[in-house]
Amino acid sequence: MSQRVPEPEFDELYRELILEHYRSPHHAEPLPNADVVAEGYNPLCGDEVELRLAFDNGTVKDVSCQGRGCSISRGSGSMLTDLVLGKPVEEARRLSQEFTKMLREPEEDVPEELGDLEAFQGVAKLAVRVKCATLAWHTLEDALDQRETGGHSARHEEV
Amino acid sequence: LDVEGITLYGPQDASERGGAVTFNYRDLHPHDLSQVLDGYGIAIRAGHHCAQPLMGRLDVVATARASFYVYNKEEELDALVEGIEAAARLFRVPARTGA
Repeated sequence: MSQRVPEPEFDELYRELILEHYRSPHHAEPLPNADVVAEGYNPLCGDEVELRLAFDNGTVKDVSCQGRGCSISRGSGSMLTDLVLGKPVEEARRLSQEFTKMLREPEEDVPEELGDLEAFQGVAKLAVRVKCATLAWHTLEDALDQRETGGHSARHEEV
Repeated sequence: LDVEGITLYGPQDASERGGAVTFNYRDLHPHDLSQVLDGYGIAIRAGHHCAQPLMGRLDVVATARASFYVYNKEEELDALVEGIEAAARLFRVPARTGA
């Protein structure tokens, strides 16, 4: 086969950074004493994510992310934990919106604050995988909504 | 298919199956596997196959399915195996399943 078909380039879609996060997700131990537990689910592909967040004075004090799903969804969830930890909730929400925007408009410059999420630029070009990348973030937004209304749990379905 | 790490769903005996083979390779998500195979020009199906209740029963997130028919050649099966191995290398799926 390797003689007939050239070795495909997967760098764009599966940047090494995403794969690293997939193999060893950050903050993957479930957070005990979380203020909000939010589940996210994409019924079309089966990706599942569970975010647990603890807040302190309007800041994300601690966060964990677990899930079952493809490398894109798990990589995104792991990076999410790195990016929102210690940030004010408004900023966490804004990061989510910026990331969603980046995936919709991949040709634009990536805002610096998105940091490692820049690795998902390749995903933006493959519409069917975009939902994998946004699942954890949309679940985060649901969790932040819950916090505002005094709720403790959320279930997000990505369609 | 004789690749170590393949989980085959349904009858394990070839005489009891048709040409559709539903499987998973260790922890590799079928969408990631099918993405890689697509890069090699190999098309498989991945996901729920319109059978979510069965996925739940099998306790899997999703499955991959390769379908063979009279026009497939043995070297295409070899290509499929090579593609699975390439995906395993790319994702560095560990030799043993589990945490």
